[in-house]
Amino acid sequence: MKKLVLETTAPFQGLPELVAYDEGLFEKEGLIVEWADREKDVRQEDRDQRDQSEGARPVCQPRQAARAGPGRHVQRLRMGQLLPRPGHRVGSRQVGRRGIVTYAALAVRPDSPVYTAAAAGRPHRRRAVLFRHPLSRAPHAGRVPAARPDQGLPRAQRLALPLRRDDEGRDRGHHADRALCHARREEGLPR
Amino acid sequence: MPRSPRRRAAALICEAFYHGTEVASDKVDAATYGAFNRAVREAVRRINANKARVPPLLHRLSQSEGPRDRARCRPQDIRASRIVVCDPAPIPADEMQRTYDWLKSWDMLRGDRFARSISSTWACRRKRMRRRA
Repeated sequence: MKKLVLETTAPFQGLPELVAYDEGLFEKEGLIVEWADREKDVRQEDRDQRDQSEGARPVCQPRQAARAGPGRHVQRLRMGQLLPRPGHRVGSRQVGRRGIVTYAALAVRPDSPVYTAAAAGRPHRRRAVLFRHPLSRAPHAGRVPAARPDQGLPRAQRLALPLRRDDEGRDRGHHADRALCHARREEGLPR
Repeated sequence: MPRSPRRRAAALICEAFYHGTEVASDKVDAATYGAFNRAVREAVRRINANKARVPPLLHRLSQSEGPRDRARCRPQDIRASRIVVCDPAPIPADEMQRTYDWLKSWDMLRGDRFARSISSTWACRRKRMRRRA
């Protein structure tokens, strides 16, 4: 049996790993899994500050376990973590895509100053707009850089591009896009 | 998004699915990583076969969040259609190139640090492409 140390994870970002652990699938493959607490080396004052910030959730400090050394196999999600920080000594590399396709969303609380007609779910034509598109359709309108195939362009050129149809690209074969479209269809939301 | 924010009259602004990446240190050998992936693939198959098995696992979600959310988020708040799992796989070369270009366009890279810091597979591909060029 080989020992493998995994960083602690949550269902929204590591559900298959948790299922495999709970159902003994790692043992069947000859692995003994240990969990390294990624919050272990987070200073208490940092935790307090994070918890006190409005709306912030203490979800991730994924580098902590890696930098501390116990994690021989660690998991990171955010693109900003593509690059190792100075002082990084573990020498880890990205080795592939994970099993879970993570769902993420932005929501506005009713007591927020940016809570608008869009948030109230009023008719489409009366919703607040962002770049001439309803806020709820902003990602599909191509104003979110990550949603554009031409995101390699410098920012000035990208902003000068014409707006795209909000339904453009819906029929792409991209897995994540299709999953989102499917989810919205199931829930009866506009696609 | 769990339904709990909706119960609090919060409204959805935008949503997306995204692939996370698996990161391993150089101490993980190919055999170990292969065994890990086989176990994960079996877990993916089991989840897709029956998503109703997922909510009982979500007690971990409430443990990992702050006390305020713990009381608000219940397993039944999770919509099955938002639980999407697939077999782990290598990062597609075209998407890695797109990420590289995007980071480069925002001046977030210095030199060739990117190629050294990501998967060795991709680094090898880039070297091969350079040799061909």
